[in-house]
Amino acid sequence: MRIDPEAVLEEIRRDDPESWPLFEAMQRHIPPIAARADADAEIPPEFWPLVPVDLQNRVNMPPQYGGVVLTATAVRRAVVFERIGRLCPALPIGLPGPGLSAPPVLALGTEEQKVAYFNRFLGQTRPVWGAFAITEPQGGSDAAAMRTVATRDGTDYVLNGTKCFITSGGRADVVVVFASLDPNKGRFAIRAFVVPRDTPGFAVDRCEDMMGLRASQLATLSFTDCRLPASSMLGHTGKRGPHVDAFTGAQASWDYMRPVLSSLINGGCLGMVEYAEQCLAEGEAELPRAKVEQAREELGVFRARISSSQMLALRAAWKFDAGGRASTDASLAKAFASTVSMELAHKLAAMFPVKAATAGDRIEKFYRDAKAFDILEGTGDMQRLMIARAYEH
Amino acid sequence: MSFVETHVTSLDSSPSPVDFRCAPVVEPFLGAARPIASAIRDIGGAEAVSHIQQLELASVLPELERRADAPVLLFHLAELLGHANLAAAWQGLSGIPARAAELPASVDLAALPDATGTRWTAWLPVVDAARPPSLALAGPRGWAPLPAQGLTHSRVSGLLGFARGEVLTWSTEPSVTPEELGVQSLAPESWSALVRAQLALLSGLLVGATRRLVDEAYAYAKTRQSAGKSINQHQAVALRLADLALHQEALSLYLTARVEECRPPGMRGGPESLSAGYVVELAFRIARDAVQTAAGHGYVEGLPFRRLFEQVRTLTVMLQGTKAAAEPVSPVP
Ligand SMILES: Cc1cc2nc3c(=O)[nH]c(=O)nc-3n(C[C@H](O)[C@H](O)[C@H](O)COP(=O)(O)OP(=O)(O)OC[C@H]3O[C@@H](n4cnc5c(N)ncnc54)[C@H](O)[C@@H]3O)c2cc1C
Repeated sequence: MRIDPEAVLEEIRRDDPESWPLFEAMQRHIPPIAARADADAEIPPEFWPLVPVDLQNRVNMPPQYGGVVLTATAVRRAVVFERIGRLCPALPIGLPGPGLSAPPVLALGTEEQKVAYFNRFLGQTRPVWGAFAITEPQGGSDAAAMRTVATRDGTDYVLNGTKCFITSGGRADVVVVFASLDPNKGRFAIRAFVVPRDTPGFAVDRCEDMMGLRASQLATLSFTDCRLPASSMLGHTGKRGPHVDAFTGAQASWDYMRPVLSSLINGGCLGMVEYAEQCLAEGEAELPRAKVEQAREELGVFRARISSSQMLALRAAWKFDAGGRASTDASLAKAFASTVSMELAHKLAAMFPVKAATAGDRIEKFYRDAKAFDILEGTGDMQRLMIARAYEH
Repeated sequence: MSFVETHVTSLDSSPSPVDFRCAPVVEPFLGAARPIASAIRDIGGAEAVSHIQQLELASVLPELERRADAPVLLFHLAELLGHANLAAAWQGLSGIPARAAELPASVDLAALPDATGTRWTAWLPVVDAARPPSLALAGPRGWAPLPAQGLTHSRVSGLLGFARGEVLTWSTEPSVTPEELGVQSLAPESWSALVRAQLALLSGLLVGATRRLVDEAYAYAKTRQSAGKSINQHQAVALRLADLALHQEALSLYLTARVEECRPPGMRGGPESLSAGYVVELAFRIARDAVQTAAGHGYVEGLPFRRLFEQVRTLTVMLQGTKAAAEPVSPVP
């Protein structure tokens, strides 16, 4: 077994001198704006001139469609986002680029659709977001029971329904929306559609006032008689009745993103342990002296837990790159990381009660951010049910 | 790592900065050990131990690029054999750390010091009561043959879960000098090799034992019926089963990385850097949840749960003791 993230970074620096400055810029410019982005629930405008926006738009996009080499493999994504997560695990979730919408396009789209989709993110000087919309107000875990419908009308499809909790939904230029051709037919009637923001009938109903991860602007989107050409259905070849199992496209998104998200969480945890150790070292403990040593030991145990979590995430990424089935590993990584993060947040709040109650302090913010990790991209319960099913065999 | 071997088929073989396959150097030895693991699965102690001894591990170790890879091999073997038959694996492998440290051939097992520097403990697997293993005290700067003058000695027969094991403890009188004890010098590398091998052995056994517990829990939950369906179909049970897998994977990766000296960010490599508190916590959760899965049948003798629950507890005590001996402020005999 070999785990050498430094060597991964070295490889990236060597292979991709072009996008390396983006990585450096993110590391330099995210920490100073993290607290404001949280308070204002948006990424402050002064951030954009500081980072190479064109490169930022091309993160998490495959290089053959113009994506940056920085995130060309799952292992690289994991290593890069763990680093960024150490500085702030929340803001990176709201950064531009196709994000979660890229994997279904890759998994389901025709070559033409892929080129057209990713072209939207190329050569832009302003930030461009993509979004992925599957969750609906009446249910997220049981995604196959969705009610948003796509009705065939001549050569078009007409979309009606509501999606909620959509990351960057409020500012996305384009959204990959999952809808059912016939809600009575379960997951096999589900298709994915590329819906540009300016499509008549598409509205951003509201952005939620979220507890944490506030810069990622969680939105409710509605589709009212939203008319789309058949070519906007991912996998539609122009011929009659393509049988596209779009639900596997959604699964592809989770397999793709869970190791990255887990790494971001792990980075966030490690950053918080380092912050807490520094507070203890600087005599800022809000604890009786006798308890400081115990606190240090507890942080040591958290370092060990995080190390397991890092390896689970990296192993999922490594398997993804090897082309093996990575769903179970991705679930293991996500379930473990999100559990560790909430337990760490809770522990830090007990060690530093005043910081935990002071708006803007990293410990206070982490406590809010960490809770989301067990919900987005599938709750911890759902990950565990998948794990249990997988290990039965 | 068997899980990876069976699940990932298309890996290229060039060295990559992230690679979860088992260290290639140990693969041939594991290949030889696999049939032995199958053979010892459900057989009694002495016979199983003699199978393990066929591996002739003590003579194999020096082949492994000096001692650097010895702990890695020992860890993976201990996992494989410990999963099949924990008591036999411990009995069959417990003499290896003394060989890794190149203690004289007359010493079968070394007792390790605790933080006081005046007390040593040996956890002794009794394979053959008629021929007890020969023991020595060891420490960072030397070793002393036993018996020695000026020591008080206590003995507890029966180690939790290992009915035929013993805990032996020696304490020195305050006035006894190293010379009087007969301390002989030990190169720092040898002491380090001893501690690393002992940690690798116990870590491997723990990973094997906890994996066995998880396998047993899944197998039981598949067949046990309640309210008209197998219990794994009940969500409360499925969630517990998932946590079992989750904690076992976490423990296994953590200990493998420590033994193979991987350094995920923020952690040092090397078995001495392991967090005993974390290992104990995970192992406890696995043992607890596995027994709970089988409930009453897990609590009584018959299925492997009860015995493994106790054995895991004992292994964690041994691991904590060894980790304490590896601390930089270790005492001197
Ligand atoms: C910050 C954030 C970002 C998000 N981003 C996106 C996004 O970009 N795109 C998108 O489509 N969605 C997104 N979501 C939505 C997210 O995927 C859902 O919230 C999640 O899948 C859970 O769905 P739900 O909230 O409807 O809860 P429900 O599905 O109603 O679940 C409620 C509770 O019941 C449990 N539960 C439900 N079903 C079962 C079952 N079968 N067995 C056991 N327990 C069960 C759940 O674990 C949970 O505890 C985001 C959510 C958050 C918080």
